[in-house]
Amino acid sequence: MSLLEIQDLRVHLRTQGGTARAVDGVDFRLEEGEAVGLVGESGSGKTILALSILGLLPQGSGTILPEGSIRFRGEELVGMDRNRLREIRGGEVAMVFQEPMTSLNPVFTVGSQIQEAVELHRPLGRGAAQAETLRLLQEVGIPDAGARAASYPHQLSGGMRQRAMIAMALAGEPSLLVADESTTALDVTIQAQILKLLKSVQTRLGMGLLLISHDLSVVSRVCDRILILYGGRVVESGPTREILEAPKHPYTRGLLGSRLSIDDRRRTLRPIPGEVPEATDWPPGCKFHPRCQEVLDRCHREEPNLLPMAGSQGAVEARSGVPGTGREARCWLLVEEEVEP
Amino acid sequence: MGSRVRFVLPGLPHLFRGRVLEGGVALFLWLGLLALSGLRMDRVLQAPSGDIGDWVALLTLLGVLAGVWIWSAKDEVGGGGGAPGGSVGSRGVSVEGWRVFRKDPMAMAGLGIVLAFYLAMLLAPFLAPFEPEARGAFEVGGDMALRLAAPSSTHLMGTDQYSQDVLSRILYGARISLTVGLLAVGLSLTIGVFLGAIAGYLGGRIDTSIMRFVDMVMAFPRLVLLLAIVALFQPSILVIVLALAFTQWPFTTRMVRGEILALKGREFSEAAHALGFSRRRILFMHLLPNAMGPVIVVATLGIGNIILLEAGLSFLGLGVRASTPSWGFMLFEGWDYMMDAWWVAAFPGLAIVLVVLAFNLVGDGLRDALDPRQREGRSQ
Amino acid sequence: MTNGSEEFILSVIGLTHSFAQKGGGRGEGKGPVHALRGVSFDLKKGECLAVVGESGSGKTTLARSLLRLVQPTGGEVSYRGTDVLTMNPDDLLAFRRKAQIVFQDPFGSLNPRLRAGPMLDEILQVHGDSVSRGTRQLRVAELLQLVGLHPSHAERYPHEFSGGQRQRLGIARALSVGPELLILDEPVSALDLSVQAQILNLLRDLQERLALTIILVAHDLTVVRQVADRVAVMYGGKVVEVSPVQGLFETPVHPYTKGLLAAADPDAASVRGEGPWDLLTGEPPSPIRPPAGCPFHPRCPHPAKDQECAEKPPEVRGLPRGRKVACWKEIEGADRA
Repeated sequence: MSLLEIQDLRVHLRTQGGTARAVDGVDFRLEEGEAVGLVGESGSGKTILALSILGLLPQGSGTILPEGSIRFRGEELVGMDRNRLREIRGGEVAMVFQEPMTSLNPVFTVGSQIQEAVELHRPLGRGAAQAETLRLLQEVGIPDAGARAASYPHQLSGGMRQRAMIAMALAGEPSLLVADESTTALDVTIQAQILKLLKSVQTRLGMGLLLISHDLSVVSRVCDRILILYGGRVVESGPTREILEAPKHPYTRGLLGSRLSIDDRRRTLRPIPGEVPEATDWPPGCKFHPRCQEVLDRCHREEPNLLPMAGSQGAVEARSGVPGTGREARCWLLVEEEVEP
Repeated sequence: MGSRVRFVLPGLPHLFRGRVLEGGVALFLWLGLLALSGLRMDRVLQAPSGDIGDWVALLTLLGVLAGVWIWSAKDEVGGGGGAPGGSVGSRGVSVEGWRVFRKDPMAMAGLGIVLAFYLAMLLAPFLAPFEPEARGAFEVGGDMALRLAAPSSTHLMGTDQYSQDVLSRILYGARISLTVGLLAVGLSLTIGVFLGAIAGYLGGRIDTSIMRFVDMVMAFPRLVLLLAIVALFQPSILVIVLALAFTQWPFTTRMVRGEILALKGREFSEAAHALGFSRRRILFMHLLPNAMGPVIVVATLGIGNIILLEAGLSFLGLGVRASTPSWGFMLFEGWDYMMDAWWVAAFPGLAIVLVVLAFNLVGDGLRDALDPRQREGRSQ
Repeated sequence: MTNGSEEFILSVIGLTHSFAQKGGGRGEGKGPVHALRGVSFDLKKGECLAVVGESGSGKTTLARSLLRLVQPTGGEVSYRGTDVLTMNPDDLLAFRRKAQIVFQDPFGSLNPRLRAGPMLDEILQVHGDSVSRGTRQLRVAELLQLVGLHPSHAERYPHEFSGGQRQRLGIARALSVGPELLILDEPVSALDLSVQAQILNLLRDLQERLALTIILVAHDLTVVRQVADRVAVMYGGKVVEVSPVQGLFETPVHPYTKGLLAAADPDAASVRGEGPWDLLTGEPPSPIRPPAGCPFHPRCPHPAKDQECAEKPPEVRGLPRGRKVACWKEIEGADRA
């Protein structure tokens, strides 16, 4: 049984311009202690995906409740009883957001907010909770924890605030940590520190980590496996090394091609033409085809399925009916390849 | 059947095309006004030789009839699109704002009521069944029973102690309330926007001096200040409008200043600076148009408040004592008869409530229509 | 795209800027903010100089100061011999035609009530010398096409464009006055990855076509690598290293630069064999209480760091191949690159 198993997750939003299919059929699994990265730009649905795991979708009149299945250790989260969901949220599954300034309550001290989380999810008395709060602050690398606990969010720097957020997330001793763009708003050197912290915490505590970002390099530093999201669907997935060295989907290749590592010599960038369409305006067939440099005739009409690639471990598992763990891609090019060797 | 009939009756083509709102309103207005002219033909013919009020009514009648007809024809014939290119304008936001506003039933109802009142006010000479000063009971051969008569088929809202028709007085009385309301708000807007913009943009000592002046004026309790001014000078319409505007502009100034301050920090303001635009250009042509949204909302809500204040003044006996009654004055006069002849004070009171409510609904609708327009972003 | 010209069009000398905090400060304490603490560099015609730094480095203030959008408290910005900071209004207006800026936030930097065409038209009106309406319309269409938009886009409002298109519009706006110097403040950081590359390609193309000189302020090193000829690294309100782009990435000299590169790409850093630089601890300094001596010394992992670093602010020294560095320890052992 996987730590997190998502099957055919769909979240549609009713907007003025029509129905936005923000998440349109996502499958993947995350095992205990595994670090998986989710890469997507704006319009890919990654944030909606993250929010729906914890049932945090905005309650507007436009949101349709997710369909499909999200299982945490076998328990179905979609449509779960609200009280049980609240227990899990912040307890066994914790989330870290992008903007620590707006995620932390400005009128309470950092320490009191963390302590609140501790008391809520652990059976500790006031004194023990206080001690635990200090311990957590130290664990996330905040020096002078006592003084920091008594500070207000605006008195801390961006990096410190993000560490405090992580401490708060760890307060409930989670088995799964979801980090949504948690380093995007930080300076480069601080980002490196936070990523290192996340990785060390994850390894030490044996937590599962779902790291969501638009930055492939950030994700590749921390995660064992990567999923590439486009148009609300997974278009490629696989072990980090393989994705970086031998990307199969044209979108992944485009991402890598337009973002050379700083180590490469300068050459002409090959950007992906066009832009991500509005969530209400997806084209028929493969969602990426209008921007694809290698588009086939078939791509205009039919949307490909997420298929394991021949010879990969995924292919073996697919035959036994278990999707979402191996090396997969959603592209007609690969199917054609197999047909015509 | 066919196009000829459609041309004569505005609104019909719209009804056929499913645009019920426009079609219905246009048709109703047209037929209603025609019926009115028919019923009151004698009064209409008298109008050209009457006073300015009669002229206004006549022009309004003809104007609305012509206007609706032209609009209906043009809307069907032409595309109705705007001219491309053009100057630094603000149409895009307004057009979308209107679409949101339309969908809000409360806001549209409010707008309808406001427009209905203004139309009624303009057409008062034709609509009113009696002259507002006609004291039938005191004329030769008059019937004293006409004094304080309960609402009946002749006097739909009854009569007051002078046997004046309440309905007619309300229609004519609208002039004071609605005109004063509009003028006072207009004046306070002009002053407030100008001062607020300068204070916000220039900052420094100018800002300080303007804002301290604002503080000074706001320190006085508003009603007391009004009473003082009116008591000092003769309560004419001019004085009342000026007094009301004087107590209203500080609020506008503060608001505009706040908006301008926020906009000053936005990058497009910096960009204009980098492009070498003069400060005057940046302030009046770039910042102010963007600041006006919330200001309009507050101004609309303010009209209701001003109408109340004017009525209050009249009620206290400090309002306009012109020959035209005002609703507040009607309340003042009818107060004593509340127990026996409730209609004398109740109907003017109801009119005040209705108008103020309507303006508030419009203001709320405007706020909803204009606010989310600024939120533009892609969902993740 | 370096061309061989050695003509300097901009000379920045000792630029300093400190200002009082509004509302008396919070958290970190009251007191003036020292955003720039003595910045000097030269700009060659036709080159693309990138200015790189994190929060508190002063790079944004620098960009604003060069165009006198902010009046710095000290120093000189000499454009072709005349000091921008003390120019009279007429000269300043003429300067504004020669030097323009593109902002980071494509949405916030456009007037939401102004359509693209009228926006550009207004600029041409203000700056052009009674050019006719027809000519202006042609020029507007030209500008739009220059940045990869379509003349029909003149009818659109900012919110009707996508993020990348808005940024193109921002570039068109800056180019409308025909500048020779273009300053870009984080031009792509607010854009999607796939769009960033498009805009960068556009910039490179425009630089060549219009013979522009560019100052690019960025925090993202991959962006810098693609577009820049030279790089100036800023830290704590000062310039700590200046170098041609290749040298900077292959053999960085200043400890902070090494740390920055390592943070951005740890694998590359280990390939270079950078030991203690691979993870900078601590945080960028506060502009309210900048450290004494070298601004980087509290975080510096240099093995030879000593009292001198903590007390004396290093001077900028020249190294071979046009490189400059501000570090006591590196200047001594500097015979590389």
